[in-house]
Amino acid sequence: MTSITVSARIQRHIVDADLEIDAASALVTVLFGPSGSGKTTILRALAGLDPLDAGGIACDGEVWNEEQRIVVPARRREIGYLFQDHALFPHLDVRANVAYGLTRQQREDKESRISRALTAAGAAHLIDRHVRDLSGGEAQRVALARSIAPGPRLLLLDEPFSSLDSPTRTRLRTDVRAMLLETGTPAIVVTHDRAEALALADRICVIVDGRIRQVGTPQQVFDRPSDPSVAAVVGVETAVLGEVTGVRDGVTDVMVHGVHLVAARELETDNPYPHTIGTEVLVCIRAEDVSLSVGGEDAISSQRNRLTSRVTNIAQDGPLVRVDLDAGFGLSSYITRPALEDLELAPGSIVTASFKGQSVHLIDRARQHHS
Amino acid sequence: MDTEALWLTARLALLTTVILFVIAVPLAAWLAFSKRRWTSAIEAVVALPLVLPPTVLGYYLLVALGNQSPVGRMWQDWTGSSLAFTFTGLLIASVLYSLPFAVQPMLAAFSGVDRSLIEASSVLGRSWISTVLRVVMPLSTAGLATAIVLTFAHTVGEFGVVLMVGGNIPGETRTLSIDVYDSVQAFDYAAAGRTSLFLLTFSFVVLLATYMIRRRRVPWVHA
Repeated sequence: MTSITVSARIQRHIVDADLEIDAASALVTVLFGPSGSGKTTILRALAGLDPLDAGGIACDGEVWNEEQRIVVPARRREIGYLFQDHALFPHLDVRANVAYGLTRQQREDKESRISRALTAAGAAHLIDRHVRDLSGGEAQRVALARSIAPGPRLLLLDEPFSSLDSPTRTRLRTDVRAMLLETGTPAIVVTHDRAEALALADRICVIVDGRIRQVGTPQQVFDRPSDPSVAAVVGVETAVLGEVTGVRDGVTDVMVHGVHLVAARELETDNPYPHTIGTEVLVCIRAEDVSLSVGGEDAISSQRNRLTSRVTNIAQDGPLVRVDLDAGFGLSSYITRPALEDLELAPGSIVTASFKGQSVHLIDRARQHHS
Repeated sequence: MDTEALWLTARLALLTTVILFVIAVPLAAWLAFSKRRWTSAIEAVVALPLVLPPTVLGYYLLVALGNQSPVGRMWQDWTGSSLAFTFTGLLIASVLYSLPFAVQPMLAAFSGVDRSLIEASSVLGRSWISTVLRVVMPLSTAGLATAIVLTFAHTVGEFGVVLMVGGNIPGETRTLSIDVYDSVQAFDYAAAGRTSLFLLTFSFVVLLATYMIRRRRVPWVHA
């Protein structure tokens, strides 16, 4: 287990965080927050690229930064860093780029290391290409191979897919998670993209104004934001793990804790590949999309998901009321105050929660093998 | 034309260029990438020969290299000869005088190298020197070539400093520019004309080469 302690002031951000990177239970940590919240600042300080203004960073008891002094320089931190714009060396070909970070001992089995790294990043076929002939997605794969080739103890990814088009992004983020799990490389990913955070994270740290406000699994963070600032950033959303049980007629069947849900294939398709039966997916349903009714599940409706649920909690949230439900899994709904009064809801009431198939978003995840 | 002066000038310019290249690369890299506050002061010192009258620089060098100075005396004790009015003294003067012509094109080129490439290199475990050799310099070929050409040409063309520090000793410190001056003093306008035409042609060709290097589209330089 790698343990990183950051307690620092960097520019206007104040960061206090104990990042326990436990390769067995939570390999991928996502720093999630809006632009300007200080995510990249933290990542760059961790890499040793920028000095702190005050405070310190320690990794496994070894002091990396002490006040303004960089004690261990970037080149001795044994980390991989994936830049937003790949930062491949334009004067070198793909092979030389991947070989660049290998140490003297590693250069003895250079060729096998290069091909292993490229294969893991899904870029083996690019080995003899020149960097300027690569597409954005290909370049980012090569950059990924370059960063993992020396076998870093920690991989840092700075908005790694933000400059790519949507289908490439979706494919790459799925592959990246699979690659991290396969190689067992602990990673910290910075992103402001919800889908990206959900697709990659074992653990999410929500950062608002340079402070880590909440740390938890994607489900915990998206489902139960710890405070209003986190809720404002993540949006209130149910995020639960499920399994694809069927694919038919433009809809996907999912089982979530024994409850059957129907998800429409997304029209503006983010994911060019249909889900396959047996895949583990993260099922996301936003509270705004869930409507409540009293009396019977039987009516035929265009709302394909109708779940009998028990109200567990009712809370005022801004102009709306947030109703938490137990539908076999945790689900939330936003309704107006008059609706609450008409439905005569109270904790313990039984209601029908309904939402369209289009409101169910499925995010593919490679499964983490617990060791 | 005085072939002895031509040979001496060529030797001086070549040696100055080689020495300056070795000095200017680390200096320019340090100026381009260091975040320290006093880099501006160093930059100003490097640029001084551009604005100082050559006689002022020559005067200080003469004082510094002469037998009265510690450096001059040390050199005298060590080698048995004086620094002033010798080829070695002239070489030291040329290196200082042409310093900005080597450093500034390199500094401009190094500063243009994408910052994230340099960061990528250090994260990948490369030292500072390795990063300059493997990333910064290969991506600054046009700037390096400009620096070499300008240093060489500027050394060929220097006059005031040579006269002050070197004097006018045939085969030791008498360069082509001094030769022109000498010929005119002796009313030998034909000889002065020949040497001048040679220097004019040489300078034009060198500058032409420099501008052509700068215009060349290097494939990996992003517009």
